Amino acid sequence: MDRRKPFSRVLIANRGEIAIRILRACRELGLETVAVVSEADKQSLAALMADRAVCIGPPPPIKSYLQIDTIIAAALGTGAQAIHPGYGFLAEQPELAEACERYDLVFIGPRPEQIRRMGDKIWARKMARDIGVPVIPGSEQIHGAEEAVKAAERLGYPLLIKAAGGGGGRGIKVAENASELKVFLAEAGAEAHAAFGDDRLYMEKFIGNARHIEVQIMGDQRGNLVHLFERDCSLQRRHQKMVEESPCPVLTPHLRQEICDAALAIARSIKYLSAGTIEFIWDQDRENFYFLEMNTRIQVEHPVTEFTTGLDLVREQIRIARGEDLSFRQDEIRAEGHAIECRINAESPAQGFFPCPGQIREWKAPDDPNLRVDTHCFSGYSIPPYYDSLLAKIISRGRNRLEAIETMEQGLAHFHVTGVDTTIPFYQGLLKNAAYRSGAVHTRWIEDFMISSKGD
Amino acid sequence: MNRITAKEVLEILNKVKQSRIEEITLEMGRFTFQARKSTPPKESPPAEIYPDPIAGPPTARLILAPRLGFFRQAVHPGDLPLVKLNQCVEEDTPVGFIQVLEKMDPVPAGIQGRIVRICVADGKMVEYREPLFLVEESREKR
Repeated sequence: MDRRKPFSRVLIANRGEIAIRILRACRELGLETVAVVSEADKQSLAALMADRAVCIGPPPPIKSYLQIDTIIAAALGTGAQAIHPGYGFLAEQPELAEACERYDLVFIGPRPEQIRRMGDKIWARKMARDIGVPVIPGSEQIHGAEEAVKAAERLGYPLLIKAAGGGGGRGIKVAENASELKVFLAEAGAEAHAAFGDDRLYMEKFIGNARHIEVQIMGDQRGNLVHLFERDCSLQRRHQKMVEESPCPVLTPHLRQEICDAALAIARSIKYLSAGTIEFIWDQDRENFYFLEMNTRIQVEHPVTEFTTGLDLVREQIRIARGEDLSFRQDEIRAEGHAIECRINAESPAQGFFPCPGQIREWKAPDDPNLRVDTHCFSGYSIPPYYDSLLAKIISRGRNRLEAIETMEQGLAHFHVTGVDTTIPFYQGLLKNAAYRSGAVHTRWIEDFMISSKGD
Repeated sequence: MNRITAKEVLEILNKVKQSRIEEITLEMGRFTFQARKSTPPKESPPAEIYPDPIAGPPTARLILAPRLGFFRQAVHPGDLPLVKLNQCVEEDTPVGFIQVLEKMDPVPAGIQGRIVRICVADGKMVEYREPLFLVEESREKR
């Protein structure tokens, strides 16, 4: 269903830094904004900056930010004609996108069917394989222990047991041998059912020396689709990305082209609309890349791509949702220089990154033309304990990777936050590390780094 | 960092007990403390000609929207509203509905007393915990 109608008021169905990001893009386009907030966010920056803020429920997300009916009602009641879901929460719940269609609201994102399809990780793998994109050696749906053990003989250990309805690092168990496989399989189905409403499981070979490389894509209602190059998000802790950068330091131009073309092929096969990211695993030992999954939303780390390409992805999402064509062609997109993002959380690195919400006393972010800080925080802000601990994203750019690292170091040195613990000191240590600076990392590197730096 | 001791909690509890406060919620950082008084049954007072000098003026309490939606004073537009000004209500008296898409959620008064103000117009969107009615709570519990 094409929505070629313009809209003038957008409801932001999210909170925190991304709500501010969306709000800014709306303002720049001359659109009015409605922020939905839980009771805990009534004094948030988004509530203060939006043209209107409406309270949708008590603090727990399940009673507020995840309430589709309430959010739709809030849009209808405030005259908002479009809804931007941000990331997380309802961004990849096809039911919100469907409800928008039913109530004649514009969903700023892909079509419900695309969200649903790519949310089924078994389907997505099969689709990629069918169009000739390599996928991680693995299985389709596993129906029981016998089938699993047999597939494991073919694939070898360690193995990942994954939930079809998972994604984003959720619903994954690692089995080192057949007995672990049987035990985890028994648990994984029930856990997946509870978490995702879908107990289907599949398996993938565990790739030890891996990098996580993802490609940003964008499509409009006319079927124009482009890629905006890749991001390297290998530095993760428990499947949560900690540092993201572009370009990937180890990709050759030829490989970059191959991966971006593979991403486009996947996006084209479902005629993807709006912003999306296709994730790949790069096996550094075998020098192969494999499709991992597709995320049908704007991602946390989108500013990295905005810095290297000079393009505004959230603004583009809004324009596409209004029915406008992509404002750039593939041959007009250039990636220049290097950009790095660090996610600053209210967590104590010394205590295993335990979340420590509280009241920020002083908040002073660095100010530099080659730095960008996306945040919802300010001096005196009380961080509610009900949500994730992301305080800010700090993104640096440089003509090359070393410059980007040095600019980031300067930025972190001038980032003053008191009243709560933050992960700023952790990143300061990480950026000094020789292996990090050389670019020689892999997806388990951060965990090794954390163990070795405990001695400091 | 905000801290509260057990002694302080007891002090607060005692003060609440001695006051006319019915319910208190205290949030400090990650700590939440909630206490509600259950009023013991009172004997029915004699007919009031003069205000009761011991009990003091009546307590006014708000009926708040239990969720965001459109306030409906009756099931169908044009019907007589469920309640009117100065009407006495019991705790389980429905005072209106919150309409969310196709669903109509009835709103029980939650208070025994007399409606002294209607705070919201029929059909208006109300936010979570937005005031709907002001009720003068009756001092007599039946």
